Formats: sequence, structure tokens, C-alpha cells
Amino acid sequence: MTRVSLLGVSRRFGRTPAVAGLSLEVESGELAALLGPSGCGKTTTLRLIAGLLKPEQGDIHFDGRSMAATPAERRGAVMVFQHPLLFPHLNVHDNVAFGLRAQRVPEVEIRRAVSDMLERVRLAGFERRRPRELSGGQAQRVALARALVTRPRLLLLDEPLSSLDPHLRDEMRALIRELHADLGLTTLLVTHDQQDAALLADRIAVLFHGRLAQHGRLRDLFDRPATVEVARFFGGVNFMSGTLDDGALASQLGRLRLAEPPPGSGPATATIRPEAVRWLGAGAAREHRCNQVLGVVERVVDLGSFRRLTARAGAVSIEAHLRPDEAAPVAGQVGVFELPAEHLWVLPRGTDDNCPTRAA
Amino acid sequence: MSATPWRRAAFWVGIAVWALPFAPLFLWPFAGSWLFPAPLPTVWGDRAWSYLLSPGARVGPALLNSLSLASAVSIVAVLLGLPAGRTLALARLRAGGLAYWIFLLPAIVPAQAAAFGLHATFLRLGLADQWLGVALAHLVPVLPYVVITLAGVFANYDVSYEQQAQTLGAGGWMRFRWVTLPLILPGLAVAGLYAFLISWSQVLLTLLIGGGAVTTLPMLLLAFVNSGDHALAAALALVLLGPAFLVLGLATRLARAPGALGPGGRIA
Repeated sequence: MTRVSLLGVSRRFGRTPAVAGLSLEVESGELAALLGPSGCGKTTTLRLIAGLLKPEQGDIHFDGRSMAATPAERRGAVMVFQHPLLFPHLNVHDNVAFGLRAQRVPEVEIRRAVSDMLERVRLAGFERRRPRELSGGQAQRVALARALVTRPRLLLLDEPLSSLDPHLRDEMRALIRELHADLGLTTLLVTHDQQDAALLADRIAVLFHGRLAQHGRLRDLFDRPATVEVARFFGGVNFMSGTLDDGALASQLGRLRLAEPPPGSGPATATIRPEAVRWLGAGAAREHRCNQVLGVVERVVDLGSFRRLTARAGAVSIEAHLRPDEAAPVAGQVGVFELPAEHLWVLPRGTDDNCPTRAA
Repeated sequence: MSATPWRRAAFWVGIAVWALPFAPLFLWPFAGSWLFPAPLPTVWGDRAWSYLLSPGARVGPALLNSLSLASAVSIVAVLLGLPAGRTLALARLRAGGLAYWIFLLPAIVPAQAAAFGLHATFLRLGLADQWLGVALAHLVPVLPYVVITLAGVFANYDVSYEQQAQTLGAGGWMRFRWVTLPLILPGLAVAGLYAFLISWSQVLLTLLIGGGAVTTLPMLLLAFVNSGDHALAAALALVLLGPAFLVLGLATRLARAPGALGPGGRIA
């Protein structure tokens, strides 16, 4: 079990910064996810931790000790790649035994450890198979066994699920969780898939442009995003800008009361999850109350588990997700939306200053 | 369906057209006398063989020279070609295309053209008329084929296998021995085969740099052909074929190693 600390790590490729001043802590025994769109630097981060790449700035510590002078083969940080990368000339047993042979473990012990680990990944009896005789899911399980059998200080998973079929992904997720619970290895999972991160990780680090945008539990990332980008990444679409003043946001939609107003005043951006927006019904006549907004319904789409409603209130577009059993308006209707104060969240960092946000 | 007998006939005609010119090669060595209109030797005999086996023919030392030259040149060429081919294929060199053509150049320009300059230089270095000088000279036509073949192998090579091995704790030698080498072995065998055969068949370079002091089998063959003794020439040609086929067979076996990357980058 190892605590991993990234201290202001930077790495460029040519002139493009892949990781820029990244600081991150992964607790001992934690299963953490690095989540972000492709090209955000998450795989580079994993390679830096594994020692396959050297940081140009900053340092990486395992349990408080700098790894700067430790080559990858002596870090005990085993990587499982997106593709299983089983050595094609070795059978399953020899593939799994590879890391133990590198450690010069006696053959008798190797045989026991390999068959025990193959049993854990439900591949007992596959020892003599060649990699080309395995299905994709089996091969990925062998790759996992090959990594785990060495009892690494750190397990690094680089999108190990993205090349698998959906039903295999569920199986593999369950297996990773189970093995993590059994072995308690500090595990870092790189993924671009929210579901993988949500189902597997204790905490999620969201990366954009090689920087840490936010680090926390999924609930916080959803309800209390740090930036517009994080909010957007998790499906946030409603953004209202205005001025903070006395516990409320004076916005284009009028005065919005906040349940948790941040300290201070000045310009700010607030967001609300579309599933928290409520449709109070048609009619312009309804009395204008706090946090209620008059809008024109533009589109209603039934997406099965919910109905997506898009509306326009002045210059601001509002999206609401309504339960299928809720009364829904039709396009063209004018009605009242409520943005409940307890669901309005003021973005602490507004828009990221180092990256342009896409047009709303 | 009706095309099948025709096809079969065409196949055997093709084989005959291809193989018949070689027939005298296998008949001449055992001919005592074979005059023009006769379809087969009129007198059979072992004159050619008894001469070749006699010490005066100096076939033994020539065979030894040829074998040692071809083997040493293959090994050195592959050792030099490995890093060169890998770098050409994997490192994104700014002048990669140019480097590729520079490596290919000796294969385009006849090595004999370079031989005169080489000879002058080797004379000054004391390498002329030496086995070592001839071996170095053989590397000139051999290296391009080895480097290009190995660059082809590495063009389809996935470095991730080595990185996987490294994070599993394998140091440099273990990665090369148990990951890289098995993966590239077939391509390596083909490159080695090229190197061996090209060195094996060198005549002019050997003659110019070796100055006659280093005798190889193809040089003897040239002498026999010039002398017009068909029986001797054919017998020596058979001797020349033996090791070449042996190396070819060995390379083919290695190239079929399971799960390895062939010269075409195909996983066998």
C-alpha cells in the first residue's frame, strides 16, 4: 500500500503541454480515477507515475520518497494497458509468471502464485493456453492477473475496459472492485467514461488540459462543480451569470436566491442540474416569485427515462429533465420554471482562465 | 472444371521450363565425358570430385573463408542493423526519409564502385589482403538490406510490449531477451539470411580487397568457369549451394516461431 503524491508535475510533447503543473494526492489503498476527455493528459500522468516518462518539472513521491531516480522497473507500479498486451510467444502461465521471474521468485512459489491468481480472475485451468486462443475479456483478465500477481505497490489501469464489450465491462468492473477490496492495492484508473469512474473509484480527479480541474467524490463533481468545464463534462447545461450580492445572484433571469451563497461579492456564474429545474405549468399570469422564471418552451424530447425540455428565458436557455410521469408542456407554450435555491450552485472558479470554454 | 487438366499441364510445363536448365548442374559433376549432341553424359566418372577433394584444389580453405566471412558479416550486420533499423522505424526523425535513402544507397550504387576507394584506404590501414578487410568490405553491400529489413520489422512493432514488461519489473536485458527478441526473431532471421547470402556470393569485392590472398568459394568457381571445365564448375556450384540452403532452411524455421512478428509485420 502506497500513497502517491504528484507535486507540480509538468510534461510537454514538443511544444504542447500534456501535463501542466499537476498536483494530486492518492491515498494509500484508495481506488482513484483520473477522468477527462481524450487528450487531457490523463494517460501521460499515468505514464509519469509508472516511470515510463520523466517529468520536466515537479516530482512524484511514493510514500513521501521521490521516485525521480527510480527507473520504471524498480518502482513496483504495474500498468495494465487498454490492450491486454499478452506476450504472444508465451502461454498464459508464463505471461502471468513474467513479473515474478523478473523478481527472481523460486519456480515452485511462482507456480502456486500464478494458479492462485488465475483462480481469482476465474481462469483456472487456462495455464497452457496461448494468448491467441483467448477471447478479449479473458485476455484482459490475464493481463490483470499478470499485474496483480507481483503484488505491486501501485496498480495503474489505463482504460482497461474501453476495448471490451458492454457485458464484459460490467464483469470486469465487478472483478476490479472485488480484487481491490481483497488485496487493498492503491489503484489509479484512467478513464474517459463517467460510469467507469463512478462505479469503481472512491474519488475522482477530473483533468482538463493537463491540469487538475477538481478532485472529489462523484456527488460533489455533479452538484458542486468547480468550473464550467467540469459542469459541462458531467452534463451540466444551465449557466447564469450575474453579480453576487447579499446571498443572491442578480442575474439575467432576475434575482436568484442561493441556499449556500459563497462569501464575497462581484461577478459570478451559477449553475443548476437540469434534473433539478422544475416546470410549474403554463400561463404567464402566475405571480412572479422568488427563483421563478418565465420561459418559452422550444422543444420537448422523450428520452425514455426522462423528458428533456429546452426553453428560452430572454437571452438564457434553460434545460429541464422531467420525470416521465410529470406533466410536460408542448413546444411554443409559455410557462414558469423554478430554479430551487438549494440546487443553485455558484462556480467557485467561474470559467477556467487557462482554457477557452466552448460556446453555450 | 475442364480447365483443371490444362492447369495441371501448364503447371508441369512451368516446372520443366524452370528446372531443366538446372539439370546439367546435377549431371556435369558426375560426367567423365559429355560431348555436345548427347542428351546425357557418354562416360560417367568422379574426376571432378576427386580433384575438388584433393588438397591442391584448396577447396577446404576457401570453404572455411567463405563460411567464416558470411557468418561474421551476418552477425555484425544484424548487431549494427538492430539499433539502426529500430531508430529508423520508431524514432520520429526529422530527416527520417533522408536517412532511409542514405542507408539504401550502397544497395543502389554497385559496391565495386566503392571498392577502389575502399582498397586505397584499406591499404593505408593495413587491412588490404586481410580476412578482416574483406569482412569489412562485405558489410558495404550487406548492411542496406539488413537495415531496411529490420526497419520493416520495427515499423510494425509495438513498443508497448516492452513498456509492459518494464512496469512488471523487467530490466533492459530481460526485456530484450524475453520480449523484444522473440517478437522480432523471424524478421531477424530473414535479415541474417540476406546478410549471409549476399556475403556468400561476393566475388569482385573479395577479389579487389583480398587481392587474391583471401580465397573464397565463388572465386574458385569463377576460375573454374573461366577455365571451361564444366564438370569442375558444376561440382563446385553444388558445394556452394549446400550451406546456402542450410541457412535458408534455418531462417525459415526461425521465421515460423509462433506469435512472433515477421518481416511483413504479421503475427504468425
